[in-house]
Amino acid sequence: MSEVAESAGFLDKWNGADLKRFIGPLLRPLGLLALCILLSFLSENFFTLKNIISVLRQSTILVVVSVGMTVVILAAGIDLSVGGVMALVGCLTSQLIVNGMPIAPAIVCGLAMGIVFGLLNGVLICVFGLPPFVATYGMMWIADGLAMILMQGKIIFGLPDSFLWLGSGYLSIIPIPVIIAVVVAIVFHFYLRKTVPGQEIYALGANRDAARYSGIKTTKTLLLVYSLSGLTAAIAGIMMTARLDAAEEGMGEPFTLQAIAAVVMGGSSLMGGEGGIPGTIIGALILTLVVNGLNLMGVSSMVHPLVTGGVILVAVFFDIVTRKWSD
Amino acid sequence: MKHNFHLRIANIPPVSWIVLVLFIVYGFFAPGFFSASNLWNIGVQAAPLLVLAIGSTIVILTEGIDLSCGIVLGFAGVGFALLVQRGVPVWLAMLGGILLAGLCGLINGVMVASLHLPPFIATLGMASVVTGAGLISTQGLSIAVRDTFLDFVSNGTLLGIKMPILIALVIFGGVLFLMRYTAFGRNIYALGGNPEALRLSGANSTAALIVTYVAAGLLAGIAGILVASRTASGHIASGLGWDFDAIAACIIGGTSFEEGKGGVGYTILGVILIAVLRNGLNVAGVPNMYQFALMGTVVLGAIIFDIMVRRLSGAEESR
Repeated sequence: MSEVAESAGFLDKWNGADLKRFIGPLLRPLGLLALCILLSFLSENFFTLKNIISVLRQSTILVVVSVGMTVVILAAGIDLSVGGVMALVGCLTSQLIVNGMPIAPAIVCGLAMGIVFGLLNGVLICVFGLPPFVATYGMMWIADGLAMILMQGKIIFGLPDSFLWLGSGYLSIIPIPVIIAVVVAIVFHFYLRKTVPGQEIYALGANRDAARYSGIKTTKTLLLVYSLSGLTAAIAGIMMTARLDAAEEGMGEPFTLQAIAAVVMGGSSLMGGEGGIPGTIIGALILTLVVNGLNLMGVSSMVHPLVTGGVILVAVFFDIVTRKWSD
Repeated sequence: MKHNFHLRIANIPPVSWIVLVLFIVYGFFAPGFFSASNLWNIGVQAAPLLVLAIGSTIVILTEGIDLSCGIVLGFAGVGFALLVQRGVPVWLAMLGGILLAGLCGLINGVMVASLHLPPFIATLGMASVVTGAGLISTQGLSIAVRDTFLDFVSNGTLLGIKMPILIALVIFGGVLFLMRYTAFGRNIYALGGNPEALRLSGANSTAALIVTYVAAGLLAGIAGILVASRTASGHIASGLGWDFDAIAACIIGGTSFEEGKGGVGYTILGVILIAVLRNGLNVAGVPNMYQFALMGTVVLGAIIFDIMVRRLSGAEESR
């Protein structure tokens, strides 16, 4: 009896705002679950361990780029160069390997190239004051152009097995790329949430002036932010090359928009300072599942840009509407 | 009088000097650059970019951005080519292509003005959607068009001027007039400078913003028809990367993303710079694959140079 009264009292204390606060964070996981259920109707093979692992493996490249994109967006920036950097790093690494460099140093060179591009983005934005999307858009064309020069119009394939292991190997039943993506995500999550520089990124994104006045070195932090995005794009580029056993100019192109879409669907605000890695991972999984579902339905890949574009527009729209609703 | 002259010199955007230097350098290193036929060629190549860049300028003046204009340019060409293929008269098909691009602009405008999406996300998403639509409707193929009217638009002369150049200059003059003397232009500057004041003055700022994006879409459509006429085909990727050139031309021409500074007038200088760069690289025989990276670097370099010069002269003025 008293229990009922207590719970009624408990419910009384709940007003609309509490309800929204309670349901808000659950919306995205529920959406992911709903999508899974929908897909299991479309294909009876969906809920098999094999397919789930395969979906996870498909999502890994997007997850890794999106993690870096999250950091940039948290700092109220944007990085439109990631697709170009992915392709450039993939081309550079495989070109080095084909020309006889051992795998480990080739990968290090690839990662360094990614960081250099990230740093250049940061310099253009912080030092020269270019708007982020102009600077990174320009760098995208430069990365694309360099990849073109590296490849001379050819495609590289037939890379050594020990390199391909990064994209298609297994540790018992867990694919190597899944392990890489999980490690990257966890490291970045803890960096953002539990370390001082990570918290400074949030502060910078929420209010740049306030961050500067409170003693945060904004230029240094922004340089770091864009370098991190360059690094994750490089990791993703290497994973993609290892997965496809091929490197080609322009192969990273769709990932720029997909990464932004994943971050926004994951609840990070484009205004900066709000959101995080867990949401982004859910966003990336949703996007991968949508593409997976299209493939299950036998839809041509030419439809993919249309769907990605539509998804990002709807996601951003909902993001804005829900923000207004909760204010 | 002397002071006035000094002010005039100071008001010329720094890009003019780069253009001048480029002309001299190319004159030395690319024989044939200064031939009459090549100069005409530069003009013809620059014409669609000028039309596109005018659209980008008015959008940037509202503190917005249109990253979809390059793809929309190709999409207008595709719409035009598909209409011709279905037996529609060429002039009507051209109108159809331009209106199709205007529709894309309308959607952009509604997303930005009514739904309050950040402009670069709205237009980037739009670019992706339009890419998909273009790929689906053409299967990614180039649709060939053959017609004498097309030859006239792309290669004919009127009043001694090649048609594409004439069309681009007429549009340039028209928009310049609209920006100076009509509510269209005043609204655009107000949207960038002080949208609140515009709203309080009784103008419908949402409608004004939508109109701006529609105009940018229509201009991208006209540019698309110019490109389609020159290549005698419609292909969705024909404007790939043009959005960057157009935005770069605006920035180099002195239009800034803050507070509606700048204008259509100097954008033509940015367009000339980019057209001369591309043409010079071709005349000098630089292979196509090197041009991408080179152009990106040079354009970013020009933007940086411009920003630095402005900063320095700004510091001088405040002293």
